[in-house]
Amino acid sequence: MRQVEVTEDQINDGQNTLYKGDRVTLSDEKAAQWIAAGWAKDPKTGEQNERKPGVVKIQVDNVAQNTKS
Amino acid sequence: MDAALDKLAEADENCVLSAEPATYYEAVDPAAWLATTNYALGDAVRPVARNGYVYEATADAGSSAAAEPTWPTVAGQTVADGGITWTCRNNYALANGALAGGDFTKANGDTSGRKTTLAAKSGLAIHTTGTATHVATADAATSELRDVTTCTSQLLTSGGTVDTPAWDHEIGDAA
Repeated sequence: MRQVEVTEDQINDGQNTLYKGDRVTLSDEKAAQWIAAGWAKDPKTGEQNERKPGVVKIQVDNVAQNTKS
Repeated sequence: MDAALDKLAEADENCVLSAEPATYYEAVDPAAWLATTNYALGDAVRPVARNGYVYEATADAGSSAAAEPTWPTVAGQTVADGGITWTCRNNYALANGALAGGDFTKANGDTSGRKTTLAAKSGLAIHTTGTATHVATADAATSELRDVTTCTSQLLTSGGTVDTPAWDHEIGDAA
């Protein structure tokens, strides 16, 4: 687990909303992703990266619905 | 069966979200609040400066006030605004875009029955940073969610854009 400090104005994380300056403890993997994306910094080491807004492609799952006879 | 698919195609908003929405208000990105404006029951607004919540007009006895209210940030709490009472609603939206009837195409299902395909959309503006996990469609006219599905977990950074591929909702024949 690793504590990070949010540097974005706002982050929607699941059903939670975090704001700039909030400190949260995340899994090591998630903390590394947030720091790499420029969303947060490590308050102990000062590790921080530039935020990277750009074009993102997502894959959407089809919906298959069955009807009862 | 086509009537059910037609209902899905009444959606006019495409929403990329950080969590599964249970209601219209959890999914959409409404316009910013406006002063001295006549709102109707069920209308949704967001604060001029986003705060992670949206607000549903739950009492309507006139227009909004000249000055923006102090928005509560606990779901269910209310605030008076001139003749309007706004109720705070959770909101998980990260990016939104408009849909039109022509974005939906009906065809026979891949397995059985029928399906509707929502066309690929590009350049949806990311207004809030977060991790995308769900995609929904919603109907602003009726304040209803129309459809919800999952997507690959993906980090979205505000100021960027997101592209969604075409996706299907298939209703199979009765077994």
